Amino acid sequence: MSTETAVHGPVGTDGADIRKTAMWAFLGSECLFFGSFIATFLLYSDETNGGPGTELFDIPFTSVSSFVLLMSSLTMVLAHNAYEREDGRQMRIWLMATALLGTVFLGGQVFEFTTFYAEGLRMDISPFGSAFFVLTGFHGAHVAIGVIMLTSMVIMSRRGNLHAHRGMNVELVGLYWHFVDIVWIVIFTVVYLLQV
Amino acid sequence: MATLTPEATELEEPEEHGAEGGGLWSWITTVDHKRIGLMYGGTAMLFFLIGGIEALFIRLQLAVPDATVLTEAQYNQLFTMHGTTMVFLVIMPLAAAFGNYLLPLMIGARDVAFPRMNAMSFWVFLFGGIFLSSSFFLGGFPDGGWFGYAPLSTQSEMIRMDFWALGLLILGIASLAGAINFTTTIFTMRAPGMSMFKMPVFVWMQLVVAFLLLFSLPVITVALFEVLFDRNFGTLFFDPAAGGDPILYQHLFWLFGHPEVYILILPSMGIVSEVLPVFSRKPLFGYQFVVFAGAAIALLGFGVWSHHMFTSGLGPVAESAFSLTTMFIAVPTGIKIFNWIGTTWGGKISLKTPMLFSLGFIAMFTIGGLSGVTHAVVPADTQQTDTYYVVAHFHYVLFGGAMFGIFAGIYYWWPKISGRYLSEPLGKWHFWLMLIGFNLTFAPQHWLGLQGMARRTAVYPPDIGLETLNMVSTIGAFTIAVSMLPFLYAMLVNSRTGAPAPADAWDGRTLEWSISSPPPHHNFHDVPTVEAIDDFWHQKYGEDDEGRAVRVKTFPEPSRYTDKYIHLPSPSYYPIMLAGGLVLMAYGFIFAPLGIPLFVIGALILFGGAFGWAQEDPDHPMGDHDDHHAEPDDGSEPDETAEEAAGDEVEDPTAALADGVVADGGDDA
Amino acid sequence: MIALFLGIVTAVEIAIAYIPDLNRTLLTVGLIGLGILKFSVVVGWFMHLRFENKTMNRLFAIGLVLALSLFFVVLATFSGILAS
Repeated sequence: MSTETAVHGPVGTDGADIRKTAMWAFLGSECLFFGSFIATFLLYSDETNGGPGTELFDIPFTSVSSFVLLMSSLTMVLAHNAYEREDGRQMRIWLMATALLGTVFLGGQVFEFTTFYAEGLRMDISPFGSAFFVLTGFHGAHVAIGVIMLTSMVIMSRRGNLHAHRGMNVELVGLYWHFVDIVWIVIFTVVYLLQV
Repeated sequence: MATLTPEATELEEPEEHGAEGGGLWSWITTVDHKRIGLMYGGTAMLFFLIGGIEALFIRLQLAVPDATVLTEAQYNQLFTMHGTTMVFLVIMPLAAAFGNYLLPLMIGARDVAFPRMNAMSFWVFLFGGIFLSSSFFLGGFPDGGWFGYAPLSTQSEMIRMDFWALGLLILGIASLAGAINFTTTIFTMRAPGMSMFKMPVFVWMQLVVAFLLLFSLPVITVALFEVLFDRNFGTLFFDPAAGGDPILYQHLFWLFGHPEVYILILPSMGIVSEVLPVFSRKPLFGYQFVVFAGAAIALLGFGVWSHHMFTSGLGPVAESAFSLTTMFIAVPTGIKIFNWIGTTWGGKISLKTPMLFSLGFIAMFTIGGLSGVTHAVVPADTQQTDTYYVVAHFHYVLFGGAMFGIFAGIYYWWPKISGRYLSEPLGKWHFWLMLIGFNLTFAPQHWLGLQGMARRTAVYPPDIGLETLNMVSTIGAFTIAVSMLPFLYAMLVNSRTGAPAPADAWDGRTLEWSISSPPPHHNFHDVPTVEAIDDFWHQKYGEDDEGRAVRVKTFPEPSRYTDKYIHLPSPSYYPIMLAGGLVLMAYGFIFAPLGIPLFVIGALILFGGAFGWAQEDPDHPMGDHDDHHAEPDDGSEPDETAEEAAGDEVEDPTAALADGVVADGGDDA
Repeated sequence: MIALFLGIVTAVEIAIAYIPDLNRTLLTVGLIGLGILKFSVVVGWFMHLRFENKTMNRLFAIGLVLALSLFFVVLATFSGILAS
């Protein structure tokens, strides 16, 4: 949602930042988006169509990448703290760290997808495969968009174009980022741990 | 700051004189909610004509048995596009048009919360509509029905259903952005004193619709993605042979689809709730009930989707449960109907065109509602499914309901928009012809359906007793077409030559009538303070000893212009750029692999638009200096101090107003 | 602090998943419970939702509740719970 832009002042008649109200509305909507994909996955978790199933899951590996994503939420909080202290340098460092952890997570996902493909789990082999790849793939796409936004924040901050009172700011990107993280918490529990 | 487009300087002048800049470029880059509303309305009306012509072809084909006007393939395309067009390109955007134009005026704001995002919504809608319709020239219209049931939609060989799925995904982005925008606007930008329960009912209904969109669009987004992936990437979501389940598609579609029908009807309910009190000269009967009934409809609307799937074998428990919830939803709907009748009861009714359409709405919607309740009864529904009975039902609620309400709104607010009344005689011709034509078209379809005539079938045999009613239905359809002529004539001619309308054209009750017609670019010279429901009315009227309304105050005709400098957001071309990039990507996707370069170009434009947008200073350069007062050491983080500075002044709207600064323009703090 | 807590919870989750012969229901309940715990901590503290106004809380809550309840019903219709 790089389009989440306020042209008006940050504070509405209810005293809250209007962009945050908008962001929470968007995140509420996203709950239904991922809810639909997760429901699809649950429905198809046994429909392997003769292909491989959940036995391919490498829980230790996925645990590590889950942990990486979880820690990126921590660095995001640190970035936001620096932002509130108006410490631009610290903020950029932590934003970069968050983006880096996000990229590591994405790398892990690419590795996982490649392995699964090599082992015969493809998205055109079974409804299970379709549901798995499309669900985790859309989550990955959200992470990728988050990484782009974080990087943009760093660039904009360097160029002095990052303003608290309009457009995207660190807090909004932070909300988005944490949301992507909690979606993964759900996916990790429901798709991985509960299926093994 | 960043990229200030040339027209930003142009803005400065018109602002001070209170006029709007002209020219095509000013419309392309506009972020003014009134212009965006007009563009929404105009575009949707064009699509209404297109969708209507499609309907006429359908009725021509069905006028006589064994007709050969259309081939069966053409017939499939036409009914698919007729439904898709009317739902997604006509009624939804018309509701968005009213919302855009009226929300800020009714809540006493100078614009919506996110003007550029608002512009983006419109451009995405326009391009999405063109994209969907352009399929006609690129291989034919989609032909899988407007709800695109899988596996029919996943297995048709042509690219048509790709156009359908991608087109709806694009339109969904427009609606979602619009919903976020409206939600935020209503929650955070009301005039001082306007608590939630002092808002006009129309605003309430727009809020409910925004909530419905917010929480139902993501579900169809997922369904469409799964169809698209099944079609293009070999996934097996809806392939029964591999263990996929087409019923899942039905669930996902109707989880969206049923809230969608309330998305279509609630704005019209809001319009009618505004029109009836004005032309009955009475307050709306049971304001709280109307509001709560609207919210209840929305809530229950999420719990009834499976009544569209009674014949898919849900099992008796599920069927009974959904049958019950469906019957329950008639209760809040009935409450509304009683409240509307109660509003007119004992009122001084003036049968102007908006009032006629509103009364027509109540009557037609009640008929449609009653036939709807019959669908809640599972055994009856099993008989009615996929027959013309269903077609009759939803046209009574969506045409007799939603469209009649929209026409009421057009006749009601056009004097405000154009500053001129539409002709009453023409309006009455329009109403009566449309009412008669509508009933001729759709009333017979109840009988046709119960006699077993299936929908979506291009031909029916002679001698089974379907000829007469089908002929009547076709004559009715052409009567509707004729009824549009006085309307179009009035819109085109009266807007220039009609009787001039004063600011308070109908002796209205809500805030938009307190400002000039047409409204100033900045809406309100001074942001009003509100003390009651229908505050404007209470300023004009008091009560005498017997409780009759007595005029206590007459306002002078408000001027369109003010000497004050009123700050408004600058125009921007990034919204249209973003929307353009998105649609190029969609074309590129459809024509892959040849289209891949197009896809990449579209993605680059999209990304460039988003990045430019994020860095653009949306406000006037005059306000800029505060950004930089107190920069931290490294010279790049103006954030918190600026936010505080902005916050301080904005939090107290009256203080900001004192200097003629918009209360909601953070940047000039 | 909170991050440390989240890390520990994750570790416990993985451990639970590997306890051999653990009762299936217990496992499911435990994992879902811990998942909800982590979810709430991130939303409440990292995202400051605990400290925000009602509007934002409700917007998110509606989405969450709708997602949970709707898809529970959808899945129930497939599993045959409602079919008998």
